[in-house]
Amino acid sequence: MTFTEFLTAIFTGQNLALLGAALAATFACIGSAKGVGIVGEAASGMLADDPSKFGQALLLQALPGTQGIYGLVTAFLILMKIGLFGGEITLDFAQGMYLLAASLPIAIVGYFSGIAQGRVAAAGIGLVSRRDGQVVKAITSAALVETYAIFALLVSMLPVLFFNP
Amino acid sequence: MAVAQMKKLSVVALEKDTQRLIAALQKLQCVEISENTFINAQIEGTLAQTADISKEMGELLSQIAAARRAMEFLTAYDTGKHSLFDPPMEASIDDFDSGLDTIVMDEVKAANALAAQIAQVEGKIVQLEGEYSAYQPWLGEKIALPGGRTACTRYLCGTLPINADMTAIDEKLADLACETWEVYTDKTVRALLLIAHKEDFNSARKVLAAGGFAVCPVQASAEKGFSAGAADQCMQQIRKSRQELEKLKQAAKEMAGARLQDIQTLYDVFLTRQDRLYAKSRTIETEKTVLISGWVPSREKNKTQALLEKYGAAYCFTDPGEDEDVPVLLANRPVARNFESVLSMYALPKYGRFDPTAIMSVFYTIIFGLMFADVGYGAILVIGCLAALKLLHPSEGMRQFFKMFAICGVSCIIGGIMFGGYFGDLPVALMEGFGGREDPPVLAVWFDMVEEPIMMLVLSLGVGAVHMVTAFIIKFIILVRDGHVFDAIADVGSWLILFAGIGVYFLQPTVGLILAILGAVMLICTQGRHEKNGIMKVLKGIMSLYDIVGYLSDLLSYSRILALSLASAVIASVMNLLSTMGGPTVGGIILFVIVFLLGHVINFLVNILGTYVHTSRLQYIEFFGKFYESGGRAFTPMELKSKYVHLK
Repeated sequence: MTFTEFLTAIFTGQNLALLGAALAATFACIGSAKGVGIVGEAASGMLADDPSKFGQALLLQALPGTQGIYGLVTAFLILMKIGLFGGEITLDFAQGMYLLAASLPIAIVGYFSGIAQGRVAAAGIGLVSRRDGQVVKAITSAALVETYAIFALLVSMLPVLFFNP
Repeated sequence: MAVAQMKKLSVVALEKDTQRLIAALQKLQCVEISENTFINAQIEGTLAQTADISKEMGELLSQIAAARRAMEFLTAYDTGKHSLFDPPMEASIDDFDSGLDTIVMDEVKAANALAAQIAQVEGKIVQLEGEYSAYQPWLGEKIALPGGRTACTRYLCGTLPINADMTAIDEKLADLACETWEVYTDKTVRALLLIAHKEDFNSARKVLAAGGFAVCPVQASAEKGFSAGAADQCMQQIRKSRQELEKLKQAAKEMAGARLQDIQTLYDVFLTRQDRLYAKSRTIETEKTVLISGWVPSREKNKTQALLEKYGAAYCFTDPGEDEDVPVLLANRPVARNFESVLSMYALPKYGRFDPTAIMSVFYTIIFGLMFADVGYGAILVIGCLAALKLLHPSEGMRQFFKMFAICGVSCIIGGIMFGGYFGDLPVALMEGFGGREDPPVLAVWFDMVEEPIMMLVLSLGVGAVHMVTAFIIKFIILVRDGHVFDAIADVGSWLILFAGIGVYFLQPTVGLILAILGAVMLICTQGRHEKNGIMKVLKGIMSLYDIVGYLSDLLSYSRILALSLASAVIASVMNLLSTMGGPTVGGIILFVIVFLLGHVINFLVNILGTYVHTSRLQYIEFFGKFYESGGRAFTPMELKSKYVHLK
């Protein structure tokens, strides 16, 4: 087998699309895991003083979890399009590249915005611990960060939805 | 749909009535007592010291603390069944004001005394157990613990650290008339019994002490003979104390069953008294009279008036002055009222200014329904909220919250019918997975948002455009109503013309273009009008066109409607796909039930949170940002606020 043959055997359209799905799920989920982790650490500190605020802490902690879900949505859409759940589909190199490219916005933006949102939500925990009735303000400012993950999701999702091999 | 009109209330009453009058006003639940503004030079000389309530407040706070301690103690022993569905208990605050409070306070004291007793016995048990475990290693050695002395010998037992140099110690002890026995060793210590002649005893002890010898803690109290006997005695004491503890705990359980609710009621009564005291601290007293001022919503004026008549107080209601700090109470019609929480979480409007709750509630419902368009999820939301309203006996604020979500749930159902969401694509997935049908039906009445996302995007941005234009129109009306007609036309009207032009352009290019240019020219001509310099006037006017970038990004922000509705629909259909993978077999159906329930519960929870947050955000930033005059102070009347019982 020559090197060229080796490359063409590995970089099939199918594999490239799979790589895209993997990237979307992996990086968006890491971003969310980090974000949720940051908030969780801050929340435990608050709960030590006032365990009754668990519900509010949980709301704030759940917020940076959405990037992971967006990554998951994109990954599933790609997996469905390449026929992983039934239906024989073969993709050529260009088609695989198309899906890989589509996965990048949510993979990259999901990673960074998950962490950034986690930071804002953790600061929100500080706000909630000091003043009652402020949880919605904390949630709203954390949600502002999510806007950009949503835009990235759109840019990832639309090309995948329009993909018709 | 507005901010409720307020009247300023000023009252002069007899000083001896103060307590009762404040209590009665509290029961009305519609009077906010404010800092007194009567004082002027004429009456200042006749004022008594401003009511000093700090001592009274201190007493009340210590009572509250005692009641809270008693409640925490009894709650731990409460075995009665309390369900979320129980209606809250009702209690009359008048009963407590006329003597019941001292009776219940005695119960509080009894509970706290019992708590102290239990703590004492528990402490004793811990101490005895420590002593008993110190005996443990020595059991089985028929050796008298110290005190057991013969005429010429002395005994001592204790432990050496395991790493002590035994050979060195043995060498030193060899010269003395003594003997050591190793009783036991474990990972950290070596327990020794030292028997020595009384003359060498002290020297032997010093040798051991130099090696780190720790004298056994139980020997001082073990004059009673062999270690086994002493341990038995100790055990007996432990048993006795445990029995005593059991009895005390039983008593606590009985007390919790009988008294906990009384004490909770008392706690609530104390909290309302704290409110009263706070109100009292804001009044001013002369020798014989008390001066109270406050705020009352206009619609409650007659009720308040009747009460004041009863107390023979002199009073007057006046309209608030220009620069007074009037508290804000939102007063909307029944349906829109449920959305007030969305507004008050952001900020209240200034007194006398526009309250957008009613208009916002329409957009809120529509956007919520678009973002979470699914018949199944909407039905869960509606049923869940109605059940909560019926079964959980929620407070007024929570009732509004549930009602709001029930309304939004209906909107979701409508959205689901329009765009074909029934737990995602459940009907199709069921037919394909279990029925083997190849030509799935079209579920959507209007269009399927997963198949035609661009239609959905256009719809989202369209709703956004209407939302934003509504905000501009509100701003326009506010400006006109305030008499700033020119500002309204220049700052808002020109933008509206520009937007109209862009809209019309797609239908009638020429007309649209003319309108858009007209709007732009108006902006260029007017936006620099506050500048003095002529060049700056023109520059500022041209620069104002740059705002269109901001409005465009606001508009694009509405694309989140598409993204969130697609995300929930796609996750739902993934769950459907996974759950129907087993096919129409027994195993497949079990798999279906588990994956279906789990998957859709998670999807529902995640998306309901996302939808709530992002629908609110669109109101707060894209909508309110364009016109809302916030900064009002919430109206906080004296109320019968209660945590555990419903006070009347």
